[in-house]
Amino acid sequence: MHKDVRCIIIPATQKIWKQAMSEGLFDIFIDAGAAVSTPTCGPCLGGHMGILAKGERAVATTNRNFVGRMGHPESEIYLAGPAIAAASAVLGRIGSPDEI
Amino acid sequence: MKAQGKAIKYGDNVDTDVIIPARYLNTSDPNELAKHCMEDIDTEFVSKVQKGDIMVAGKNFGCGSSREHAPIAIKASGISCVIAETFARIFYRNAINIGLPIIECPEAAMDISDGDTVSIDFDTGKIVNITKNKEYMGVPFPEFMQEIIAADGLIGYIKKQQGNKEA
Repeated sequence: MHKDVRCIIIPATQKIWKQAMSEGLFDIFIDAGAAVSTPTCGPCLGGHMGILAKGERAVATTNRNFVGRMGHPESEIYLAGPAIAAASAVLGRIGSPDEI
Repeated sequence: MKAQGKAIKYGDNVDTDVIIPARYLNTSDPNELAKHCMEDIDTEFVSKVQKGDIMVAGKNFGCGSSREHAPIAIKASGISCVIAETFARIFYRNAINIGLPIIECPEAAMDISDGDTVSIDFDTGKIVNITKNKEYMGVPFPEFMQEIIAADGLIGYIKKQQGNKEA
């Protein structure tokens, strides 16, 4: 993962969480420097765990990019699918898997 | 039931995250929520709103996360009614359930300017722009919705119904 990026992975359900664990995906994510959470609300609504400070930008696989949604009103949210989000975490900017 | 006040106007797609940012959802105290109402799109709202004022907005007001805190914050800030071209459906029902009068009227929502004095009759749906000397017809609430709002929300309404049954 890019040194300037923090990557937080939150599986949507217990079922997916278990599947990801059995497929060994958590080893890959954690070894790459990501944090893996249990399925829960968190930074998506600016609740906790990685909420955005002023001027921070997120590539989020959630569904809302309203002003202040994930933290400070002057932070930015770009919505993307998981492949773009993962590639962006590696690149340190918004990018696609083709670039890696 | 009637309301009258000065219009405070916003645009389209006012979402619940700007009506009450999630960072304040650690309380459901209406007065505490009211202190932060609209602050991410209008830092002056809280200081300028007067009791009875009417919020006017464009399309899809209240879109986004379902949170009762949003209409609660608006109501506790002193706003007597929200007029919009359209409301997001979850916000619409949340507003009724907590007793915040809202009314859809595209004509009024487009024509009313910020600062106009406006009155609303919820029984008939008639909206009068006193400043511009104009009238608009909104869709009045069905009777049962009026009863819910008059009871200060769904909880009050059900309590009242239960009370009537027991009596």
